Amino acid sequence: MIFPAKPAKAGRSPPNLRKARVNPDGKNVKRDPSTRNARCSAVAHALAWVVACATFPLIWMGGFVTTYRAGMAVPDWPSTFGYNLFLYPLESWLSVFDVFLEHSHRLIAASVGMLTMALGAVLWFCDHRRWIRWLGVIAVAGVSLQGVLGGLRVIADERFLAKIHGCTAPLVFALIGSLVTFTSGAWKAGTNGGENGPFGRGGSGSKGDRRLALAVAAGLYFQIVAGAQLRHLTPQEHASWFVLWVWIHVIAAGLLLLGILWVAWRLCPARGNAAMIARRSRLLAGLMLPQLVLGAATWLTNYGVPVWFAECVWDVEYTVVAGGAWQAVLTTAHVAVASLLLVTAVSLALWQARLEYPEPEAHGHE
Amino acid sequence: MGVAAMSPLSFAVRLALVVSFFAAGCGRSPPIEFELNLEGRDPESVSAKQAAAIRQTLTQLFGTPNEPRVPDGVPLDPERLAMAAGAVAGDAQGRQRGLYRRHCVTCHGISGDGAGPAAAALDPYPRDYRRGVFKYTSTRSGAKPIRKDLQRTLYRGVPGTAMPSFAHLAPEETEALIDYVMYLAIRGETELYLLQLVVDEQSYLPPDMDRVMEEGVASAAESWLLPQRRAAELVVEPPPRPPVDRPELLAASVAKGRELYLAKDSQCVKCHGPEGDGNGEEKELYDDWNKPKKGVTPEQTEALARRFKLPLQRLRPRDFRKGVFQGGSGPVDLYMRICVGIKGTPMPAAGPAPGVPGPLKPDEIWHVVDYVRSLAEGQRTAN
Repeated sequence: MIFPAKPAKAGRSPPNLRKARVNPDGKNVKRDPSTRNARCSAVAHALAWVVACATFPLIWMGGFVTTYRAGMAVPDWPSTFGYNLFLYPLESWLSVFDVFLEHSHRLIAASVGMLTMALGAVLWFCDHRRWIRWLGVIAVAGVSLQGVLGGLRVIADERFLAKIHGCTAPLVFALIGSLVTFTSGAWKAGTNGGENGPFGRGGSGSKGDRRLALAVAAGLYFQIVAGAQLRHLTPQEHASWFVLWVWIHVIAAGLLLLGILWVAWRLCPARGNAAMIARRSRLLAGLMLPQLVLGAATWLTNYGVPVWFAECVWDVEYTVVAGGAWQAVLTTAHVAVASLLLVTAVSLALWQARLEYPEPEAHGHE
Repeated sequence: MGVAAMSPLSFAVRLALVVSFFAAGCGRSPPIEFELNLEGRDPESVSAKQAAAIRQTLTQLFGTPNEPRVPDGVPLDPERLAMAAGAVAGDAQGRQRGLYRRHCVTCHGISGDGAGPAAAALDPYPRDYRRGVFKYTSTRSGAKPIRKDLQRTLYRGVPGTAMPSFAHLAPEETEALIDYVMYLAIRGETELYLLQLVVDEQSYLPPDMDRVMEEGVASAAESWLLPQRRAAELVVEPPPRPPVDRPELLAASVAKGRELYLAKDSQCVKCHGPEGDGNGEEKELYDDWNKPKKGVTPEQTEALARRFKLPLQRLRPRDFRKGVFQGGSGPVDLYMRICVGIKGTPMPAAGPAPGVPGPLKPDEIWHVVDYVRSLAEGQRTAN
């Protein structure tokens, strides 16, 4: 001992005689890697959930910016009318509606960015799986890229960049949703240990079912891209493109509905599938049906009653209201639910893949 | 380990595919310019020199979509035009720029040709401003609309079509858009004059600016000022409606209206049918924007289609039983439609005009209005 022991304070035992917290193996809790890993995992998982829950409102807000055509409400970036993003006066932020939308979008985006960086850091330093650590880095890069794309859209005043920005946002959301899955205890435990196991009893469907679920996820993303073509129109585009994309979007919606209903039926518990697989497939179906209604409502509130509907079904006197609440909410909800569908489909595909290899993930550093 | 790892090569290939998907067509959008109005013309009939001369003349007179100009004698406010023109932008106080591109261009197009990116999916097509013809006005046949007509359309929208109500816009924004629509109309009419002068009459190039100003610009501007100058003659004010507050009065008016509706002189039945269901003997109806696309034979129509941006679109006479009236379903709106007609369509002006008695007198028009409204109400009651 180099330094003499400090005299104990009255009523307290000397520091080197304080009882250390030990785990059942007799190891100091603070120093035992397995306990530290468990804590880190819990933190990472919670943080992943926080980031995911913060990203969904961000997508809503971005949708509102497009719906209200407020993308150029703030002409500079990363500042806001010359102010630092976080120092823009509250009164100015709240007084002009378009500025409120765009600036709020930026603030939420900045928050999501910082949370994602925190998540990336936690994953890098705490998670023993190398691929998860790099996935965290990719998530940080993805969110940063989104921010830059959004900024460039404003600086260049380029609608094409707005389209790209709208197409990559759901991908980033899906990536963050995947991190929620990968950081969960159930994913790591992986054992398909009967009814009490993380997956419950049951499988994940046949190889064909897994491929179909993957195809559904890909199809949902394709739909998002097709929808972006309809939302981000540039004045110079020829009129025939819009009609083409409308048809593509509608036909793809029909095909996706069939695919999702088929997946939900194939993956139901009655067919011996794991409860968590069945839940996700039912959620997919549960979201798809309102999404179709929202799609029809989006057309109605933006372009009025189609002639074929008025002539053959019901001719209702309806006037489109530009900037109206219904138009804004229904159109933006259609966009937001599309992202939610994508995340759900990706989660389903991931869990189906996981059930193919239902062994716990190895501990220790790779 | 959980999920099977992807090989680096496989990952790189997939990433390259995704990047190339997004990068396809990347780069700045082409600059926004007015397009030359060659609708209905054989593109070969206009030489590059003629096209360039017309474009240059129009730019000199009217500027560009980003920097519009107001030629002398044109009754437009340059500040309002500046507010409506150019790229979409706003400032910290909420003052808007680029209103036309924000609210109108998707349907009406940069040149106001009614062939914006979304136009082909709509029925009816968005208005082509370039002839200066607008459907729902309070002015007599052949006259331009007054500002109030355009304000009404912007404020109420056009029910049953994709034309929205812009009631939420601030008054100065509405006025700016009205000025810009008039600007596009006057510019469009000048352009048509130039095409006639340069291409049809094969005038020398460059065109004589004095002649263009007098016969093109001034003529178009004057036509917009005329309804204001000769309001008594050209603007219709509906007379007071005869009393129909008692059921027997209304019933009598409806009966009289039906009689007039079915009469040969009023010609309503030809298009709207004896029951007012839009099932008249005239089936092939087209508005003035679509008529030039119709050939005598299907082959001709197909050949003509190549000269237009949007395909041929048929007109449907209104089915009164549905109660959906694009120009408005109120009594005054219907009065106007019957009295002054719907410009650019086969719906004629049935009301009297100075020096012209017209098929229907003002009182008679009110009776027809009551009859038409009774058809919609009757359907609602039956349902």
